[in-house]
Amino acid sequence: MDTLTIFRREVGSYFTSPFAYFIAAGFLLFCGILFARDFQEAATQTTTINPAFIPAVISFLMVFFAPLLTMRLLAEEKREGMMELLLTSPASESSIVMGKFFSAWFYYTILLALTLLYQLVLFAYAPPDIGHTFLAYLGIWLYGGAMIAIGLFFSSLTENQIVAAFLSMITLLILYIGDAAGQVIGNIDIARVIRSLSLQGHFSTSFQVGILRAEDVVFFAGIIVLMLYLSIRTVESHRWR
Amino acid sequence: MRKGIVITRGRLAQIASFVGIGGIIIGLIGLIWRSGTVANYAVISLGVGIAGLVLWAVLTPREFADTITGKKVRNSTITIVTALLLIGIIALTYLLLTQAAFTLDMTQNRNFTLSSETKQLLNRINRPIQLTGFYTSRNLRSREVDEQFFRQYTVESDGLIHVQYIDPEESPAMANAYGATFDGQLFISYLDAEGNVDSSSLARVPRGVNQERDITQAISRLLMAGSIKVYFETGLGERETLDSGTEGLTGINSGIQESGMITAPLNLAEIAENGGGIPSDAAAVIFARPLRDLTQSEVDVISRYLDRGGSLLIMSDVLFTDDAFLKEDGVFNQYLWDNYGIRALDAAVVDPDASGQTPLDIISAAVFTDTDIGARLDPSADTPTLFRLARPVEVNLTSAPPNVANGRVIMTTTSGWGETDLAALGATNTYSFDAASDITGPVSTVVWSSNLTNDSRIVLIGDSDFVTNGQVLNGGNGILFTDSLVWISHYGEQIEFAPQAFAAGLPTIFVSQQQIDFVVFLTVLLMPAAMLVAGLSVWGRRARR
Repeated sequence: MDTLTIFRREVGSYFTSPFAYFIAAGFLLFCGILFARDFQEAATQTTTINPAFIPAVISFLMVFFAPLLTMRLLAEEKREGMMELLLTSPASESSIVMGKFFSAWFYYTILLALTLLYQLVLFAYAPPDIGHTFLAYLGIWLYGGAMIAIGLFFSSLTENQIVAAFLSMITLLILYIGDAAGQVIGNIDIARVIRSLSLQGHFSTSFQVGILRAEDVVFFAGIIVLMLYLSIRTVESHRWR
Repeated sequence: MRKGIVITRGRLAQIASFVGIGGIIIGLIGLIWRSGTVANYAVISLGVGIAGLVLWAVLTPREFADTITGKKVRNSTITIVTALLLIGIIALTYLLLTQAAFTLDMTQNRNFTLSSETKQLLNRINRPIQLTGFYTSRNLRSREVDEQFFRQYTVESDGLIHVQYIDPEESPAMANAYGATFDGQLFISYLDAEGNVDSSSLARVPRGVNQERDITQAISRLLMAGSIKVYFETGLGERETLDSGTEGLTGINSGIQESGMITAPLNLAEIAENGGGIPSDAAAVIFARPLRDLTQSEVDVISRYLDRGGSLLIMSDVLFTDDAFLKEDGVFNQYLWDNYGIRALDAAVVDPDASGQTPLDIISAAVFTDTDIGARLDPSADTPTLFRLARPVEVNLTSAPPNVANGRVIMTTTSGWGETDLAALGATNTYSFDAASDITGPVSTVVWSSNLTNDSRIVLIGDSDFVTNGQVLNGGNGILFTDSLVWISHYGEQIEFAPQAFAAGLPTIFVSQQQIDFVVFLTVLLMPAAMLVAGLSVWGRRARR
């Protein structure tokens, strides 16, 4: 059993579970309401519309959606005693973790792809800046990947899904509001360091405004790699005990 | 019996282990904190940390070996060390890329890419320039966005543009020294040989909606600082450029100097008496309400200056004396009429339909916004000019002198007129329209003229109060003066460029209510409902099994 097998199994479980559809419905309802409001305002007041609006909304939504997506991934396996079974299977710890991570990221990618319908609506009425739109979506895709990796790590720490969701939500919220560290911290150097560690800080002033900065890509990729590594080691720790 | 403190080998090793781990953690944090630059305290902490670990290993080698070789501990240690190594690699890559500034501007209008005009200007820089930004921690995000631009200016100028950030709350003395008044304020200056700010070249960078334009124009002004010299005529009883009272001109004098121009006094009477000429470096000469009219010899000096492409900004008030400046039948007024098709009239402007407290306080009713001078004075943009007791001026549009282009900038309403009974106005402050003797409106209050052969330029304004310290900030008064000076001195031609428009790429939507309803239906109802139905269907299928 390799990563691909786990990935297929997990993706299959997403699409045969009503839960994933309900999450998607909630996600689309929230994005839809905000998009419609923004569109209505832009149309009635003939103001401009920002192609990065929906990705910016998703960046906040993901603080709450990412834990919902990831809380069951490893915690459920442990609670149901399936982890021992998995560890005795030919699948390596890294295959298990990577397969589960990529399946969650894939599901998130589909959610993102669904929101491209909003961009198609914009194309029909006032073509948005394609480069800006593409970059905003690329940024929010990487951002989401990093959030899912963090959520997965917390799911690997406990067998209680609620605890996993709670811990990752708190962490993601801190990493989100770290962007506004300067609002509460007087020392600009400390505020800069905190902001440079926040997820939102690497999205709001680059991808969201239409700029690709190599360091932001490395930041998100780095978070994903680090969190996956820690998750793999946590799963491996079952063998040590 | 008093028991002393006993330090055992094991206790010392334990302390060494704490010091070792603590030192390494502090050292690593220090390295990250300083964004790649190696701080002394970080190196010392790392050194102390390593020494602590070595001491621990030497003092209690078995305990040390057990700690790092126990299965659980070994695995945990490997995880921690590998994770730290991974963090180190990511942090190092991140810092190197941050310094290398690899960025790709993918916006349609290249909103974050410098225009070719800016790059050409940056090629002309031959001395180090510093941009000093005052940002508090609350303005961190703006600073990051600004940094995108500043980085490009530094790269494109081959490092000749330096950027320094100062927190005005941490360094209030610096903020005071610069005169910083708001969060995010930017200053520009040359750096001297020692790398210090050359305060004589220090100037504010205006902050509008277009970052690139503001910064590039500020650099442009700095580069041309001193190359444009403007003379104020001072020998005919004009308003004082050094008078900081409400009737003085210190406000506009400072404004001109902040724009990079040099101002200097000029005594026309002395020049005429000595048979000299207006200095060859005079980009423009300003007459801010002389009290007496010019003599023929003084007009000759001006004539020679204009013939070689000079420029005049003439501000003339209603004066109740016999020898008032620009008297209608005076030699200077006649000269202007004959050679430039413009002149001042011996009257006072009254406009009941566009005035302030009294009909003598004239508000600009009609502005010719297609001129360089009037472009920013659009009355609908809430920038009307306000003149107190203005004088009508006239432009000869039908038979202008050969090779002369001229026109109006500001006029009254059709209800306005030129009151010619100045004696009554001066003595009793009374005025009423007399069709037989008064000038029928609309009358002009600002006109311009240019000789197309020698490129000499003149702006004639029937008021001077509007540039005084007490009035210059009212409405568009400052704009009228600035844009008049910019035009006559050719200043604008040297700093004009076409910057990128920040918001140009964002689309504006024009749709009907029906189309809006459709979009709302599609995005708020249809899409989530379709997903909900799919979920219920899956749930139902599973429940049936």
